[in-house]
Amino acid sequence: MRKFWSVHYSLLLLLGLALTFSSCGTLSSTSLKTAQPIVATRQPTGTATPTVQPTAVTNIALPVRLLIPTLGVDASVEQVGILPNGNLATPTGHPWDDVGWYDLGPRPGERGSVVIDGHLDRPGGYPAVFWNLSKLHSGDQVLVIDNQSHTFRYRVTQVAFYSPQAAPLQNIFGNNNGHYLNLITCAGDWIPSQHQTTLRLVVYTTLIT
Amino acid sequence: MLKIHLVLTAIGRRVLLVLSMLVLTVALFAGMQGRAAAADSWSFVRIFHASPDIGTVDVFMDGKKLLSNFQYGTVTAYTPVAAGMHTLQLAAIGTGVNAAVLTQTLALQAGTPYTVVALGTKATGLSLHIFADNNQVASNLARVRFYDMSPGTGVVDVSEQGNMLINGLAYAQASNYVNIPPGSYTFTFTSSQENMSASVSVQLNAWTVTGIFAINALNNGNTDSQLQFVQSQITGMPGMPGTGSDPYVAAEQTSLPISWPPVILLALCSASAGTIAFFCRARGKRHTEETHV
Repeated sequence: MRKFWSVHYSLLLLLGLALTFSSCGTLSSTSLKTAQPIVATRQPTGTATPTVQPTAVTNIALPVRLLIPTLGVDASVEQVGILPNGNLATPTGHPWDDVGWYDLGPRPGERGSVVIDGHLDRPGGYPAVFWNLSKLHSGDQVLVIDNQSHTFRYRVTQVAFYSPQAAPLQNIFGNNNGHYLNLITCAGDWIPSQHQTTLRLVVYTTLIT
Repeated sequence: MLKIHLVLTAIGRRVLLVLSMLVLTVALFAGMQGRAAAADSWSFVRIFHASPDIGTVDVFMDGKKLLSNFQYGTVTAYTPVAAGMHTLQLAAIGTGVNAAVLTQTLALQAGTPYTVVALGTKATGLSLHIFADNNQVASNLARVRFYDMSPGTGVVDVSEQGNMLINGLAYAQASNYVNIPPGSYTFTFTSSQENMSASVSVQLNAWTVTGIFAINALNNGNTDSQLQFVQSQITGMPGMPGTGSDPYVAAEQTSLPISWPPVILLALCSASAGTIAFFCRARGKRHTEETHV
């Protein structure tokens, strides 16, 4: 009987220690992820074939983090291009947690329309990085930090929903009338036959500093 | 009586003041709302000068100068213009808007890019033509559109290495968009009516949209007049991304959002309970052994 209790307590202790270390290990890897070194190279995007050839880029300010204080978003920025089907690509490194900066457009801080996309949800409907993007309002701030530690502060000017076929692409990607940052994610209902949602959400912002 | 009148006047002034402030606030708020709603209300206009007879011009939009020293054979970048009705005017350089030689009212839709072409000769008549463009990329291909802006060409065909791309493109018309693999191409414009043929070589890159404008006046029997070409290439606009996921599939175990603090707390409690219980049991055992001895 004593032996039984000893084994029981030992197992309990081991279980507790194992849980503790496994939890800490996961947290550590999360911390490492957020502190990973800046990679100033273009990453292949898309699923079938790389859409952008890797290119060594140095001394060029590239966005590395996106912060939306009111939503608690603090995400790493990946570079994305255009998919073989002609649509804007999405992050592939950490698809649910990272956001994707359209690297054929201007860089943050430059004149024109900087575009960053991010997933609304994960398979199964669980929240992803832009789950709460629709809660942004005019006046809210969005910050982009580049690999040279410059912070670009933008202010939300409009939150708009479009069907993907009717989105004003030239407005979203090609407005060079000022310094803009436009955030894109999905919205509406899931259409199984089309494997996409009915709407896209675009948050328009303009550069403050 | 006078006192009552003065009091009422004072009250009236205050009411008026408050009302004025309210009106001002509402107006300001409405103005801000208007500005806020303007983010997706732009249209985009590029202007191409294809009229050899009007020389270098100034361009005016709604009476205000938009461009100076705008020369024949040049095309501007797309310029954002608030959607709605606008008046576009071209006047010889330095002569002012009142001396405009071309005037056109434009009805611009929000989100749409346009090409406006100043066209024609004094003999054929001057005009401004507007074309709605579509700059969305087509998969990994390049897109090209041909514009016949040369007075006197009549109807032209456009081919590439003998392959017909556009059949019967009339003067003052733009073709449909042609989606084509990226590469170097030589496009040939042929007018059987004018017994004319001219070629232009272009480099078409993936995800670009290229406009090829045929210009210059072709005069019957004038062998010196040749078709000329102007190219304008931009990076196309990608389609909207697929940023949603199937909510009906089983979630990936590795990507489930886990709230770690409760797990850590449970683990620590479990470890602590195990440790305490273990030592208590060991102590009890030692006590029993001592008692037994």
